[in-house]
Amino acid sequence: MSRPFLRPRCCVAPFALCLLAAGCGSASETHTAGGDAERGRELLWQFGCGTCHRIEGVVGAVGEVGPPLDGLARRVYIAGVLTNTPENLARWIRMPQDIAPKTAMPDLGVTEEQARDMAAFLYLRR
Amino acid sequence: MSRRGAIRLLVVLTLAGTLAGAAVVYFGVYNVAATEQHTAPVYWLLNAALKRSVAQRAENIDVPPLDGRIENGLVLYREHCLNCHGAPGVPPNAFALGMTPLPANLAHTARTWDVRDIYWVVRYGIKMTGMPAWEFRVPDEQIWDIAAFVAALAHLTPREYEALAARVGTREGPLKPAETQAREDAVTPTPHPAEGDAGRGKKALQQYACVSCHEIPGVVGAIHPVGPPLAGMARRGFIGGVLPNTRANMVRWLRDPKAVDPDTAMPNLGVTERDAHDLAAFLETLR
Amino acid sequence: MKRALPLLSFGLAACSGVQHALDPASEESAFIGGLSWLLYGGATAIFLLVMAIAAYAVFGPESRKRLAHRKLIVGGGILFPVVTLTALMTYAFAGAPNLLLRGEPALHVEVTGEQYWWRVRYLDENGWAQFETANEIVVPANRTVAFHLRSADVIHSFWVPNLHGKLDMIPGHSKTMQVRPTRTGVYRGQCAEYCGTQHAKMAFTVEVVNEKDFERWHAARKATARIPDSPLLQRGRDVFLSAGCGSCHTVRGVNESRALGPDLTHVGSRRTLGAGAIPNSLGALAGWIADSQALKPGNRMPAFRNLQPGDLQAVAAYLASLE
Repeated sequence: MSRPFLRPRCCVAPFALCLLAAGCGSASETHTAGGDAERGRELLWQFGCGTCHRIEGVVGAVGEVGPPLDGLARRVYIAGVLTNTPENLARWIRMPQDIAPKTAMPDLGVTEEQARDMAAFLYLRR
Repeated sequence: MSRRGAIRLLVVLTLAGTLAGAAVVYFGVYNVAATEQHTAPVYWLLNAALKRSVAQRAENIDVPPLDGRIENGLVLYREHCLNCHGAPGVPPNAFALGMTPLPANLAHTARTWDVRDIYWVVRYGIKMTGMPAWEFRVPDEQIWDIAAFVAALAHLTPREYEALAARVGTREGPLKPAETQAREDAVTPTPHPAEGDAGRGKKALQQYACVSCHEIPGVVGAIHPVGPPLAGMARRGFIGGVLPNTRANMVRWLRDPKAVDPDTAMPNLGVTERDAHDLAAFLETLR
Repeated sequence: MKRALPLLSFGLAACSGVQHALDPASEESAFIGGLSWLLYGGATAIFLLVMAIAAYAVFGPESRKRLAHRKLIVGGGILFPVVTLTALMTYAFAGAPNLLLRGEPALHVEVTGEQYWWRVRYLDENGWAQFETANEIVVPANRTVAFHLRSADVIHSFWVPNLHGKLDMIPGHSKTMQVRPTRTGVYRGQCAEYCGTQHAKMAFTVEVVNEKDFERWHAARKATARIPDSPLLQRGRDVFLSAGCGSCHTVRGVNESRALGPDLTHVGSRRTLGAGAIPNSLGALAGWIADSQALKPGNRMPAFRNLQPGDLQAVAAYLASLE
């Protein structure tokens, strides 16, 4: 049994729930894929991710070719084909073509460590 | 104001309020049609009340060991739940798409609800939602099997679900929406205007359960981030990450996403040609 | 004091950089920089002196009355400014020839400002173009370079603060700026005359390298494009031709010369895309092709939104391979 990403109380009705359920602490449970988010931000800029995706917090990331990456941490599926876990996200960033051969997302030659850093930053986009 | 005056005012206000409430009921002001989503405040209130009600009651349930329940849970799920909720890449049965509220996408539920809450809902059901109580129909152990399986949906890709279902070997799945679609296309030779009707498309978002999986600006209840958000869809470069965003491709994708990308979690929802044009016309307004 | 420290370090850090008039990398900018420092230093000294006299006049002891004297008014108010400003003007005029054309340049580069990028042509001794590139200029150190500045549409202004002052590019005119770089490095330039919606994203770089590196670079740039050596890159080249890229862009050795957009013969080796808009990479190339209008709205390249995923990836990979 895997732990749910968020406790329910924090998700749907933020107003009442935050008032009522004090210790529901979930923001700190963010998966960070063991990467360095700050470096991830720099890499997302260097690899040109922002030319296709809107990413809040990355300079010039206003692309509209693919889906926006804000709120990615809450999404259930990555690219519609993988369940959203930090490992899967890093894997997807590294080799999208292997996972979904028809995808428009190119293989950018990202290393394992770089992918983890990028995933760490993207997981902060709630 | 004197004390008596205050009491009188209170009585008058109470009476007026009661009368107004009675008038709303008597004149049928609130539309109960399933094709009309609740207003945003009502939706929010009902949703918040539902979550709190379940959370309060499920909090102290003791969870038995959940290991090894998934396969049995899958069998039960396909028997009892699949018709309304669908599964990764598998659409619900056509009738379920007409329900309001729409049966939830459980992969999202699995990520946002605790397993106790899931168990409680399966066991006791939810009033006025169409979610039945299974307490008197399914033994408690099996309800835990179902809850364990639903919780596992958080990490089950469409492919993995397919493989698991094939391995477990279950009963016949639900009626394929593609069949209903073919039937409907045959019955109503739809004059599909190429421009599409965006207003009708907005209603169709509810009827094809788009709102269960996508965040869509301006649509009440479309708050579940299962797939990508649809804001700015008119300017998006690719549909589903695989098709260039043109009207023809959008219609193709909406009608049969699985045919375009067999890996996608988006199921074939039996969208007719005309409805696909209307949906596409609405999506083109999301700039 | 603690608060002053960051300010101080900021002030010092601000005196060097890839786009800085007080961090000279050429003889011309060294003169401009020296003149600037002279002005800042002199103005500061005069300002402090005047403030000191004013303070003395207001708060000083009884002896301050001596200030109320005709000699101070005439000397400090008329004579001193006349002498100082005349000296400054003489110094500036005497130095001005440093900024003009001196002798025969070793290299002629024609730079044309276009909305919103820089067309760069390296010219031979007869003024004919040897090859064309865009947004990135490479010049040898310690050689005199002549930039022939033109405009294809509206008024732009060519400005690389580390190398020289601004010079406007006027449609219908050709102006020449002469630079003798003294220090290797990459220096950033920027259009300095508002030229339209994407004026802010109209940057370029001038890289100063030693003679040998320059010869190597020059020879490499003169060459035609690399031949694609894998099925993916071959498909990319075919897409380049069939999707219409070749109607505006030239890849020498692949299609006929087209003058609308930047020459892409060696686009893979550029640092940025869209004249400094985004860092160049395979991903950025793909994103730029698919929807350049989202990244730099109003630029002249249409968004290629009808490319199939495989075609888009192939053409992006092909362009990235053109080093």
